[in-house]
Amino acid sequence: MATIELINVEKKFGEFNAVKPMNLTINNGEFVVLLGPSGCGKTTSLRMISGLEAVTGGQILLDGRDVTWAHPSDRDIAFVFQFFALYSHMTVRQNISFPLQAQHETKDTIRQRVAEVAQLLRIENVLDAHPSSLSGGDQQRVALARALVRRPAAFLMDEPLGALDAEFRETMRAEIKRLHIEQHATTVYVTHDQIEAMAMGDRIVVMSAAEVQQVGTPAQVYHNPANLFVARFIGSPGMNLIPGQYAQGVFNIPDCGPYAVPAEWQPALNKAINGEGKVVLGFRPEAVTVSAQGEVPATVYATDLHGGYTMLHMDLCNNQLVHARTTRETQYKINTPVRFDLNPSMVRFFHPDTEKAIVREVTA
Amino acid sequence: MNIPLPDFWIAYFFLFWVLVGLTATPVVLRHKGYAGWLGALAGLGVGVIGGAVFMLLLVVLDPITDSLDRPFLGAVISILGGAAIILVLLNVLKNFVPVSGGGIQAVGGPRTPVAYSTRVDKVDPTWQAMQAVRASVVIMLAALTLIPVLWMSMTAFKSRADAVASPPKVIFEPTMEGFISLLTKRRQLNDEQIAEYEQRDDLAWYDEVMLERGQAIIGQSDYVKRLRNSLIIAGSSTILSVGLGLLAAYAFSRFNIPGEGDLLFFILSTRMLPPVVVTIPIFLMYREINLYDTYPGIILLYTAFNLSFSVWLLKGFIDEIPREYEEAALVDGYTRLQAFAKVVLPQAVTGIAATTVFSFIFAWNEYAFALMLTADNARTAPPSIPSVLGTGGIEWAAIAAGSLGFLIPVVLVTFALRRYLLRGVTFGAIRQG
Repeated sequence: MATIELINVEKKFGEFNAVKPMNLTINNGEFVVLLGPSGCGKTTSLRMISGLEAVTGGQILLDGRDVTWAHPSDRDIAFVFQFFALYSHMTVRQNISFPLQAQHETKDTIRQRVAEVAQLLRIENVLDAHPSSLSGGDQQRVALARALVRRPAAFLMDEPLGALDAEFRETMRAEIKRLHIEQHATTVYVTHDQIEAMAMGDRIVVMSAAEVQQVGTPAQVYHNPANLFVARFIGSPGMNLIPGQYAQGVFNIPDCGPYAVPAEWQPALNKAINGEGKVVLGFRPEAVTVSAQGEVPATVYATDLHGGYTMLHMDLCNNQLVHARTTRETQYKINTPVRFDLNPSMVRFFHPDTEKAIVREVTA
Repeated sequence: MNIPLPDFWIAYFFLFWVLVGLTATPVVLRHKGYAGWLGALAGLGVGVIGGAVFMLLLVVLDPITDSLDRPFLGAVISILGGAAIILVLLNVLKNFVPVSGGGIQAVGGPRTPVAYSTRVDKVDPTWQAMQAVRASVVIMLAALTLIPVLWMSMTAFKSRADAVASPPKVIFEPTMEGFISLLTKRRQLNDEQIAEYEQRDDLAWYDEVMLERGQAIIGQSDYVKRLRNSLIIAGSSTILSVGLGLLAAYAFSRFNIPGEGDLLFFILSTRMLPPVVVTIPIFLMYREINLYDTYPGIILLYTAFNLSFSVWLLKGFIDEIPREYEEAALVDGYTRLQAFAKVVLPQAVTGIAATTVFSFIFAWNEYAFALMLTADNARTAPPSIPSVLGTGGIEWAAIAAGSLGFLIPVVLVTFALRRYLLRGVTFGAIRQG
């Protein structure tokens, strides 16, 4: 097992920046998820770590060893591809043995190690079948087995669940997580699905426009997004973001009315924008409490029942939609006026020009 | 009755209708619930009657089409028209076949389980019967195109007299005379010598055969050597052009090569000139650098000609193999060459098979260059077959035997690779890279 360090790693295709200089340390045994919309450079980053793509600048260290220019086969890492890349002309057993044959292991070792991973992944019964005859889930298990059998220093997975059916995806997600806990293997996992990232990652690296936006635990990126992009991208729906005017402890929602900023935020806001100016108010749907005495007025726009809870969409003064999470028992008629309050500890503020979060000094 | 067709075509169309009856009728009868043997028997009857009706229709239609004053067009119209009328008649008549009360259940139809197709339209008896008709058409067309090959094969086994008999003999006594005279040099014997030879008991069977023609075998003919040359030259140039083509196609497909499009076009442009145009310059060049009438010379030339084709064809196939296959092998600890050999080659086997067959047929078949650039040492079979023409009359049997022998390697190669070819020919589209 190993640590992976990226130091100012970048990738340019001609003039086009695929990955802007990127610094990241992945600790031994950590499960790091690279998350971002398609085309944000997350797969390119993964391919650079594997050596399948050459870097155009920076350094990659694997356990302190500089592997920036090492051949993929010399890096001792395993790669799981989105479309599995199983060799259709070989049986499952031959597929799994393939990496071991490259290392010139003896036949007995190969047989034993294949049997071990097959048992681990519950694919003993398909070892002599051809990959094309397997279900998507089993194909993915074979691809994982082929990666695991070598006991590599690190695993790289490029959207391994992307090609699976929704029902398989849930199961395989749990299996991969369980596998990671048992094997305690350093893993870098690429996905565009933020639910998957939240569920699996020890840490999430949110990427957009070839840049790292935020690195943090799932809780950090969810509750304390570093900028507007992360706030919008994480969560479903994303954070409610309302631009407005701040002055003397009051946030004025345009055309709507005032919202008294919680006292603990006032020093930070005063400092960030010199006491007065434009800010963006952000809050998660679960920060909203609808009540008759609520501070902010709105009208009900639509509601959808999600089984366990109801997502209430409110129109804020014919201006913009606010999503709120309410209990499943409550029912609201469309176009009825409501009022709501915000949980003061779950309110966040962003700078509208830099798009960065305004940070509050935490007093103990 | 005067059927306005030559005898051969009467037999041909009659056979067609028997084939249609034999294949289509059992389908219909099975749906009506009759046993298989009954269907076959009825099919034979339907076929014979269908054939007879067809001839009758031709007689009827002939005066009408004669008014066109275009004999061939008229014949085609009456044949197609007659066939259409009979097919419509058969299609109508099948509805009058009573459903069998016997214990056999009807197969197919909306209320019965389907065992052989999941498409409802393919369960319909009309569809299946038409499928049989279509198959019959294909079989008869195939038979028509195979007749020359069959004729050649028959001539190869005919004696000299039978080969030139008129009218041609379809039934004859097979003899190896043609092959023997193709592969040997012989001497004409006079009566005394024949008598002397007949006394000897150390003669092999081929000596006996030729003795009947009054000839003694005195050695191997040149054709053996020509055929061996053809094998060596076509084989080597095929291996070379497919091997080099694979490497080039892989490089074009996987790496960013500066000026890739121009290079590919340049490679293709070697095909844009009829080869015959360059034979004289090549002849002069070859003579100068001592490649005239040598194996390397002609192999080089065929390889160069096939290479453009094989690069383009194989590039199309390799483009279709996802890069992930090799990348998986690369991270699994293999070098690029190993990944190529262990992963790309097995995946590209279809394309390799198709390219091999095309390259082999080109090199095997090539005539103009072989005629100009070889004399004796490296001469291949195609330009030498005409020279088998014997002294004192054309040895048709020997020529047919030579052509048959020439045909066999290509058939063998194609047959050995047929499994990959069907997909290869239809799906391996050449794409602009």
